[in-house]
Amino acid sequence: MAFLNRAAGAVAGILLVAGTLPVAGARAGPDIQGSVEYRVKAAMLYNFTRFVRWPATMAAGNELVLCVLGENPFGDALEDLVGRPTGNRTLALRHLAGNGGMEGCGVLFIAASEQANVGNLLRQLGHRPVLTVSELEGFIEQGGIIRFILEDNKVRFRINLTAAEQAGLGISSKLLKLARDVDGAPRQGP
Amino acid sequence: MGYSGIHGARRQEIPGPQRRSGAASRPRQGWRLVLLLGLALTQRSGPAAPLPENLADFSLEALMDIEVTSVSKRPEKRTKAAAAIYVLTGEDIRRLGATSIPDALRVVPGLHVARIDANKWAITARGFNSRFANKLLVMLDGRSVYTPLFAGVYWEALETPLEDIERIEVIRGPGGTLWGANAVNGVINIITKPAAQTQGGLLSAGAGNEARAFGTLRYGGELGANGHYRVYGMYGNRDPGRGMTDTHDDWELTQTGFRADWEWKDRTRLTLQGDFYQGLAGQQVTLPVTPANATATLVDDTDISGGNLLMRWMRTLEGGSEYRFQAYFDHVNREGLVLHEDRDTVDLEFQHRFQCCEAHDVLWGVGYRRTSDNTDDNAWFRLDPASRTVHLYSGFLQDEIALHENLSLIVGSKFEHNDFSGFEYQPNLRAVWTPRPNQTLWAAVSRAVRSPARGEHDVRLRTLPAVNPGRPVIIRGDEDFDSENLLAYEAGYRWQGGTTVSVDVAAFYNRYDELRTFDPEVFTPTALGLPFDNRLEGETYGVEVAAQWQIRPGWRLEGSYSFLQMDLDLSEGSADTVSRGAEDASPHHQASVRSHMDLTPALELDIGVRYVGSLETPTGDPAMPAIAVASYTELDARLAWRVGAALEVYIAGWNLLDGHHEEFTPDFIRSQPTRVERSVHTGLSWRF
Repeated sequence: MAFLNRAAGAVAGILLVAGTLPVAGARAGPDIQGSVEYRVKAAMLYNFTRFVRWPATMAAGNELVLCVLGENPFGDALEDLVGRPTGNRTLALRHLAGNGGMEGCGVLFIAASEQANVGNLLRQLGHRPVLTVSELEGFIEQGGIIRFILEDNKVRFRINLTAAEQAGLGISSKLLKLARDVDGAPRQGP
Repeated sequence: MGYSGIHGARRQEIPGPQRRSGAASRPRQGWRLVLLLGLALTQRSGPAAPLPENLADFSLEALMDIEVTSVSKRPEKRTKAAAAIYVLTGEDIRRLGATSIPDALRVVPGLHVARIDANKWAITARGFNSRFANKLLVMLDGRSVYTPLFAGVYWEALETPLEDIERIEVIRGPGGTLWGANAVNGVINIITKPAAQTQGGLLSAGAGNEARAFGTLRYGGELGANGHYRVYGMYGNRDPGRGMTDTHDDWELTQTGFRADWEWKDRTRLTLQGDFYQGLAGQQVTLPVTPANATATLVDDTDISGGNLLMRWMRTLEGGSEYRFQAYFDHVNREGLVLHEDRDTVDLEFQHRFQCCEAHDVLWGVGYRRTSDNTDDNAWFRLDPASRTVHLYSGFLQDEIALHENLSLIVGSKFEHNDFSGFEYQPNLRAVWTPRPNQTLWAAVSRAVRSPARGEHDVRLRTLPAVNPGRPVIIRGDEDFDSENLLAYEAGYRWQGGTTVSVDVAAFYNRYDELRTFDPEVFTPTALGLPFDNRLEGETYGVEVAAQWQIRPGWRLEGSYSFLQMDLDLSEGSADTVSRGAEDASPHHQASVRSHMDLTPALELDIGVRYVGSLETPTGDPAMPAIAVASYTELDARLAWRVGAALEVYIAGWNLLDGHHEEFTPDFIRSQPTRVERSVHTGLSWRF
């Protein structure tokens, strides 16, 4: 027992020292599973894909690629979605760093880190059949298709129907019914 | 009474996976606690609360119904509760590195948790702590776990896999209107996850110098198209505390249990659950022996065992009206040197909730409990009669009235009849005002009753005073012993600063009368008789503060402070020498600070510091100074590494600042208190 107590003391010391270290050096990582909010949002992203119809002209393939641009807030939550069926395809995942590599993305989630970039990005996408999703303020107004919002601590979303139609995406009425707001107004700008 | 089952019911409203159809109409108006105490907990817990792992199988509607409060990990509606409430989530418990429910409760603001020896605890809120603390009601999934013998809780026999706990709700202050007698100073509801949230396999195991070995093996699966189940087995073994010599207070428990939940499309839900346990809780106890004035310190290995089976049925009708029926059977057996108890309890309750006339939300219910015991007498302990069956009939009615958009009034009362003190009523009146969405003010006036326990009526306990001058005392039950009464005035304020800071302050002023006393009755050469009586009254007041600060994503600080002052007075003519001692037997000040930090996405570091003020227990002999327990400050820490999605390994240390410290002096039965030692344990948790 004496040995165990000494060992306990030593471990206590190590934990104490460890406790003083991280403040300076630690990287604030998201919870490994992502916070509840982002786990819910990830599951909703998957659900969106089941209520959106991509145009037949979209490159045929077995996979629907979900792309995440910028700092991934989802933790591991999106990884769990890979391989899930959506329509007659399965979901794939791609993390993007810059504006490149968007070829083949069926869904594009634009992270909050891309705030400064989002207008350019949407213009660059033009009317390509990509379901753009973000939580950034002004996303809908700038021509994005779905924006997550928080209301009473619950995740809600807005849909820009005009932008979806221009992108050639068919949005199921079920999704529209659940949207907090359906924006049918013509989008601003080019 | 176990109305917390209602929480269980609410819990089941966590949106479950929608089976293909996607028809996800959930009762939006669940059994919310708002309707109960005006304690508005919600159906959904905050982000720290465990979520089902298969969220992607949920319908959009279900997902949109999940609360995702990202910072104050408390559900938003909690901020509108009209009572002093704190919720410890399963995630909190995991990050504390606690190996027992009492250790997890140590961080709850305003709760005094003191370990008497390695398997006994004194836990209560707002004063009057004791191993047999009788003003706190504790429930596990709607099943009351206090013993009707002394109205206290045998914490050493209260186990459930910590990984299965969804949350522990701690309400400080009276909850008698809904929960009934004994919910005087507080209520603790331990709520486990629905089976749907514990699918697949889990192996969690660990070992340490104090928590010598502990482990849980659990497996969950589906039951047809509408049901889920889990079964588990668990084992725990704790090292004795420190004493002058061998202390013999080791503890060992093996428990197994199951839970099954069904939910049908017509909004009918059914839960079946049960547990069976068997174990050993050791102690040393000093007792009077023959010849007169001789004492002996004896080793008492108490065998503890028991089992329970619970059924809960709920139905939600169109329009939001809900019915709920719960029944349980509980068997408890203890065989110790002094205490023997073999008890069977059957409890039935029915509740109905409905909205009416625009502004009213009404909840009413009736309940019946029958508990019968069988005891063996010995040289020290005798109940007369040795077997007794006690009946408890109860009913309650509560109405929450929305007076204005942001002002609600909750009025209600519980009525019950018990075999010892007869008819009791416990009304309360509460008001909640939310002047702004991020601010809540609440106030309440309540009457609560602590009804007599079987022992207080029927016991003959031959024991020794705290300091043993050689003369034994006989604590004697009295059939005239009446209920203890409380009139409580409470108020609180909650504030949420943006998304990063929240503060919760509660203050109370309690007036008690008819509190329990022991008036020395007969001096004989061999023993002093101490019959139970109701000759103490007094007031207590205090403040409890809890705060949270999300410094940045992945780093949260929590702090709490509580103050308690007790002023008790004996009725004229009372010669009681111990009961006023409750004034100093609870700490005046307690404080804690905790930091929960994610160093990297895979590495968690949790550190907490706790301070508990000093205590004094009277000796019963006015000539002798009280027994003091020094204040202490302790540090707990945990470092965890997630190796992959399925495996986590951790090392945790408790009470790291001192080699050992003491926390409490027992009363009634002079079991030897032992000192709490520094402890370190390591373990893993593997999902498969």
